[in-house]
Amino acid sequence: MKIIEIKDLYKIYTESEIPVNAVNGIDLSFEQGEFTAIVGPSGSGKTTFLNMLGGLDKPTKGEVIVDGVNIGLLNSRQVIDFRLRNIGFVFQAYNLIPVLTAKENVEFIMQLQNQNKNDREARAIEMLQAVGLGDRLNSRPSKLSGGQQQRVAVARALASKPKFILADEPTANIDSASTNNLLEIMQELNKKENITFIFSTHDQRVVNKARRIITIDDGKVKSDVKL
Amino acid sequence: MELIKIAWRNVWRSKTRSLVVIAAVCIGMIGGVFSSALMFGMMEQRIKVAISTEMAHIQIHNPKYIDNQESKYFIANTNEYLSKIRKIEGVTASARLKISAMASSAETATGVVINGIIPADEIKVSDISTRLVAGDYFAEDKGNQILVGAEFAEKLKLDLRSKVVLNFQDTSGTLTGATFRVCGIYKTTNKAYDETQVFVKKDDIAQICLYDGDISHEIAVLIDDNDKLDEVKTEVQGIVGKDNLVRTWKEISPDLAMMTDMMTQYGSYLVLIILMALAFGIINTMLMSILERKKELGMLMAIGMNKPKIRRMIVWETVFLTFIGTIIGIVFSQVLVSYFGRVGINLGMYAEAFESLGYDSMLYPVLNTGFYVQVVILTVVTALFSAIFPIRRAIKMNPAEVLRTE
Ligand SMILES: Nc1ncnc2c1ncn2[C@@H]1O[C@H](COP(=O)(O)OP(=O)(O)O)[C@@H](O)[C@H]1O
Ligand SMILES: [Mg+2]
Repeated sequence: MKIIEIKDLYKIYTESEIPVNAVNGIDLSFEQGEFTAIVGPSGSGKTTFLNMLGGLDKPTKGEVIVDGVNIGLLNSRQVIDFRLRNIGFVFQAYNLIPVLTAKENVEFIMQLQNQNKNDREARAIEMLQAVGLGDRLNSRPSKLSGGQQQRVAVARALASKPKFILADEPTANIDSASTNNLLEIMQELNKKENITFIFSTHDQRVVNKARRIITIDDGKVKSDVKL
Repeated sequence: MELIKIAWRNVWRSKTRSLVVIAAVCIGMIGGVFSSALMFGMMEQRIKVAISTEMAHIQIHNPKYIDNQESKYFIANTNEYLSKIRKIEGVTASARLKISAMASSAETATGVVINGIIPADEIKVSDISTRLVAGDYFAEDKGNQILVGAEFAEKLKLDLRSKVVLNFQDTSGTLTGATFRVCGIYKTTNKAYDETQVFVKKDDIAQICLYDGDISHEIAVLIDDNDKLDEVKTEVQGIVGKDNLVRTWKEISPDLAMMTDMMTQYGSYLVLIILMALAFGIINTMLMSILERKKELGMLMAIGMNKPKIRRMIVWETVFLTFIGTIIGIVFSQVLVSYFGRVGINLGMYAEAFESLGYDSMLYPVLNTGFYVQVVILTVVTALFSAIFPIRRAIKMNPAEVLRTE
């Protein structure tokens, strides 16, 4: 089942003297249950592309259709709500609210979704156990390692029951052991729960775990390989 | 709930910075509230003295007497009025003859107002008998006694048992006079009053002028509760009829009445100005905190926290930052006010200046709940005002932009 369709997508930054074609004509689609890496050197347009996929940035031209909704047509209020209900996010850093514990961070997104307190709490614990942090429920982010923090971010993304999870270079700030660990958890969630992951990276070891590898350069798709 | 919790914890992320703001608000509050309490105390004391010593709550006059204080403009049927007025619940009254006179001692002479009173009645409406610094209040069996103010005594170089000659016109305009002997010297906090008002027995004056006992120039009415002022005024007016003028202390001394309202206003303005100055500190702190949390706020917007919720979180942070100091400041002020309200603050070194203006040099600060309510409202306004700029800064951020890690 197709969950994302991208048609003729462009993003041209015009603030600088010379316009930058960060995304320069991409046509792609993503299926439910994919485990896909977006690969490319720094500056190739990965972040820009993922931001448009996630409704954080508006395309200069083209369409992003998520589950039949052209998110470029949503107003700013609608698009925030759309993100909240449909997309899970994992960023490279600054994922968590420092003043909340791991459990509270995961609960927070469900609170934004207006879920009731009991459901929230039970699901937060369940999700943290799923990422192997069942024993760190009450730790604040500053007491967790970088890898653990990223796992909390994954747990939070999962907790919101999104259609897919976008992760922009989720392993860029963590060591290789943590990277392996995080990737294994993501793979397992993908296999067992059929969670769709789309993540960008320029780390070859991460790329190797993917089942679909989309290489972009200069804002264009260079190759799209399904393994 | 969650947003309030996050906001509360956010306030304590930068402990020192928040504590500085809280301390500033606290000190500002104490400054504003306590100095207002001093002003209120001063006013209240002035009004209390004015009512309990000088004016009573309500006065009745012959309307012509107001414009022209001549003894022929008197109130007839005084005794009938008095007995009817005294039947009103919580009300006492006393009738006075008031006559302008020339007072002379062996040394010198000066103008004065004679208050011809019935001592037993006067005690119930005026506390002048409690303000004696020398001698005694009137003795029943002695005639031609006079009670004078300390200022007056000094001016005429009078001592206890000194003789004073009073010259004045009777109702027909004929000049008359008599010699009185000082039985007591009183001192209020109002120098002008002490210099111009002397007291003698009504009977003594009546005898000299051949007045019948049923006339007076002024009836003073004291109520046990100032809140019943207008109600009692209406009743009294009904008793004395249209031919007599009935005025409350607020009408007799509108400046004093207005001063109370003005002081409350002034106190609020003072607190408002202090809060406005503090608002800059609060805004500055909040802006810093927003800038430091740019990426975190970007992340929150990205994962789906909408603008109203961001706004609410920042409002709560600002409210906490403002209110912690306010509450501590108010509690501390209240402690100061109740302590000094009991023991008083002695401004003895300025006694001369205060008393010449009619104020007591012993200050007892007071605060009413109404003022606290106003302060709290002003603080809410300040907090909301201070939140505007940080909110704007936060909300106009573009999450995609602030989250870029380069
Ligand atoms: N706000 C912006 N204004 C101008 N140019 C930008 C902006 N954001 C990104 N770019 C440029 O767009 C290109 C793609 O950037 P990005 O999507 O961040 O690539 P990647 O994530 O693959 O490193 C880069 O050349 C970058 O400099
Ligand atoms: Mg990038």
